Amino acid sequence: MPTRRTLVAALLAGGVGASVVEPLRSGLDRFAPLSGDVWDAATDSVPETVATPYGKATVRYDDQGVPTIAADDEDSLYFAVGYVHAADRLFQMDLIRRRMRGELSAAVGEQTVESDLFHRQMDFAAAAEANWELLSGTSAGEAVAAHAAGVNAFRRRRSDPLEFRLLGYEPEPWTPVDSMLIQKQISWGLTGDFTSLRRATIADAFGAETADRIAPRRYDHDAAILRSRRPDVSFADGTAGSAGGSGAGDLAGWLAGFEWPDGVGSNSWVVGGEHTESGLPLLANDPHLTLLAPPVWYEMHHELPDHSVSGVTFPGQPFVVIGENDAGAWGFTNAGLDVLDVYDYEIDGEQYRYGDEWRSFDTRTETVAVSGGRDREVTVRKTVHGPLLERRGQRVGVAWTGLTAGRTARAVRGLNRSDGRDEAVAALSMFDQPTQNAVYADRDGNTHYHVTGLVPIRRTDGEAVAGDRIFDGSAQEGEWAGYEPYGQPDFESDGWIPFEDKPHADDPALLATANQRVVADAASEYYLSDGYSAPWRGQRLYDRLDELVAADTPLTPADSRALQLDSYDRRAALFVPEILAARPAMTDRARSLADELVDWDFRMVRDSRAALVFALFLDHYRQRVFGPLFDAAGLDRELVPNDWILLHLDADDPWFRDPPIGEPRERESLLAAAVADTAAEIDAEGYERYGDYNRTEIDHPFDLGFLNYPEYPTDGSPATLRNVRVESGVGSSYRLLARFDGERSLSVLPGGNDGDYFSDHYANQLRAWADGEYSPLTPSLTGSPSIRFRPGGGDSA
Amino acid sequence: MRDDGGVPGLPDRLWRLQTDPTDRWRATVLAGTVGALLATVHWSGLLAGGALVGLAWPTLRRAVIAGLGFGIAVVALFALELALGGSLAATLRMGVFGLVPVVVPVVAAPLGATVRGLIPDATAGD
Repeated sequence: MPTRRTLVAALLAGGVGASVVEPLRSGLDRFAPLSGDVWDAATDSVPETVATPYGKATVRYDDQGVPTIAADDEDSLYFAVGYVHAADRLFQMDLIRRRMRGELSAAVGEQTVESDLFHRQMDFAAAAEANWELLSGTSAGEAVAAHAAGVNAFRRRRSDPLEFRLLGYEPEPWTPVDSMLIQKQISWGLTGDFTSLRRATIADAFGAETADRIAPRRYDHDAAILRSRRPDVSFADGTAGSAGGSGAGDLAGWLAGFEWPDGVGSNSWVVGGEHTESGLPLLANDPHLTLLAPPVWYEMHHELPDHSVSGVTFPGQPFVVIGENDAGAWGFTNAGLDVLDVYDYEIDGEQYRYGDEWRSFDTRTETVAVSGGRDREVTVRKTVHGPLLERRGQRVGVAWTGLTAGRTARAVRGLNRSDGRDEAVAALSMFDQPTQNAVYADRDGNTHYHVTGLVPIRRTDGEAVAGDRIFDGSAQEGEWAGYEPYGQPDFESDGWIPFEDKPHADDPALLATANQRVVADAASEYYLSDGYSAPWRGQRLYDRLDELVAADTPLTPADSRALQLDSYDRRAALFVPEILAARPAMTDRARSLADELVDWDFRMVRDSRAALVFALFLDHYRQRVFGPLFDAAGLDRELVPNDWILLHLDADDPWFRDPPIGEPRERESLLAAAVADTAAEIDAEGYERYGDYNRTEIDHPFDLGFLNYPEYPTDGSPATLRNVRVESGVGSSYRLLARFDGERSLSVLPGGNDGDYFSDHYANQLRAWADGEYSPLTPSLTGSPSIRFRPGGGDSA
Repeated sequence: MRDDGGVPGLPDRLWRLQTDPTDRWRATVLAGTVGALLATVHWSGLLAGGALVGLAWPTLRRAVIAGLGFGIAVVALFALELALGGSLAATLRMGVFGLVPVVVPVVAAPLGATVRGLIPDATAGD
């Protein structure tokens, strides 16, 4: 019989022994009360005084957690901006640079290995270094360096944010090259597009004729940004062509995973004073990007003696990208121009043919470290065009404007400091990446629109050609003059569309952008794009603006606000009649559900039952129409055509009557089946209204429940101006309503400014965003500063 | 060693402390304070604190109860720290992660207090 002493000793030994074994030990290290690493983040606070190697600066936070940073000179200001960015978003910044460098797996493990392999092959890091080489020595470069010093001042002085403690690593010093990587990430998300490869893959599977119908280069509409009376035509020089024997199907599917999610786009418009109540312009912008916790954007105010700027920055970049200053306001939407080409080569071992000569790939092998897993080797190969992407034996070369150095940081600094339209347009001329629709308006009543970004003029045998195909790189097709991947481009080369030739409008009285076609192809002497977004939003925007302008009363900021929150879905207006017409083929349950669509106003609002039915129906109809054939062809579902194509396939389309694979199908029966699927889903999920389904699902990259934002019902859909895509986690990443009548502009973020989970400002704007509310864009200029930067310490680099 | 009927092997001062209510409570408070300070450095301080508190009590059962009390006091202290830092509500929303700092002290401290069971109970006084 064991004694009490023996039993107690065994209990103690067991308990203590278990506590020093993983994972219990690391759990205790992180979460034990009073000593756990995690709780340092919960109880840490930003100090009131920070030493700076530059001049004085102050930071005042408003009740939304938006800082106003005031300083006497730029370097002092941007040091403080870097400090504040790090204080509120250091983990997010670190995660982006890790992703772009292909170093995610070293921190988070096996699940990001594919991402790391892709990013290593693209070698974004070398492109960022080339960018910094171009920028250093300029005023913008000095600002970026001061910003990096500010980030490091926080990193050295303060305890690391929660996420670093959960992952168990410390961030490396921040460098100006890391800030360039932030820019590369944004540029890649907006222009890293393999449309030509996807189209070729579809053509390989279904034939060129089918590809032209389900993956056309142009949609049939007349709502281009720069409206023309001339009917648009398809770009005549293209070919859906095959991938030239590259068998690029797997590659296209794999690469689709590294493009930004479906729906990344934006809205913006500018209305001249001749149409407004105040006689001064109105400008609005809401970029539709991935919705994350914390948000893509960081809102702030910059105060210098000679200018004030308010708006949003990218954490890790010093300047305000979208916003306003004393003179004017500006915004951006994605232009959808083609700045990426894909090349096929004749390859022999480690050499590829380029013209008459055989060249060796520029090759190196790297190790991708994997936390808790097996490290991977990746061979990075480059050609004269850029990286050679490889997937299961398939290889294509890639040229992308973002792989060459650009002056975008100088352009954005110039916008921040601009004193009216002329200076703003001059700044935009250096906005090299990404290609964007820039809208501008100023207090003097000037308005402007300009497409920005380096846009290559591809040439084959000296003749300009479209970039909507896979080029034969060995035959030197589709060459870009002046392009130097991972180096400095020749900006004066005739290989780029000159800034003054890019689509633009001086003093437009009314101009609206929603990622639709920029200009009719026939109206441009240059090839611009191999595919724009579907025009659902673009058409709605111009329809409503035209109505407002035609009305007796001039436009007010309230009209602009209502437009930004407009939830009218043109897809529904187009297709609900088709659904209702198919009711005779439906089951009783499906028919009763379809009846919900009768007399609907096509508004995707949270209390609408019809909106719920239509949203769910679309998903099921898409799967019914495309799913079986794409599966039979072995194509990735990422390649399924968008809703414009889906809803414009009429009942007699060969896709139904004479499909490339399988037996003919009746569209009516597919419609009826999709409504039945919808009924089953509604019953299974217990949905009553659209708001039960259409909820904010904005998650932290960790997807730990407590780090994700709360879910709120909201209005809007993927095709409405009030943009939200619950399936792909994309939507209005910032809403700005700018005005010049003396009242404050308005804005709102989908979340909170502070990435610290324990902060009151972690998700404080989310409810307002979901409910369509805004806050005045007002700097905090009085009151005691939260942080004072005092000269006399710290490193400037 | 005592030769007047006291607990064999138990130092006089510890025996007196365990059996004198005033001394016992003073010792408990002191042990708890030391334990809490240790726990701010490393979680093993919770075990040590529980052990110290337990040794202030005359029986294993009461030592474990006292250790549990120490654990609860640590939870309260931690909650106060979070509340003062404005993080208590956010911590309560952390789900299972927010439960860890509650569960750990109320398990670790009584476990440490079982050290009291390695020596015989005190039999006299209260």
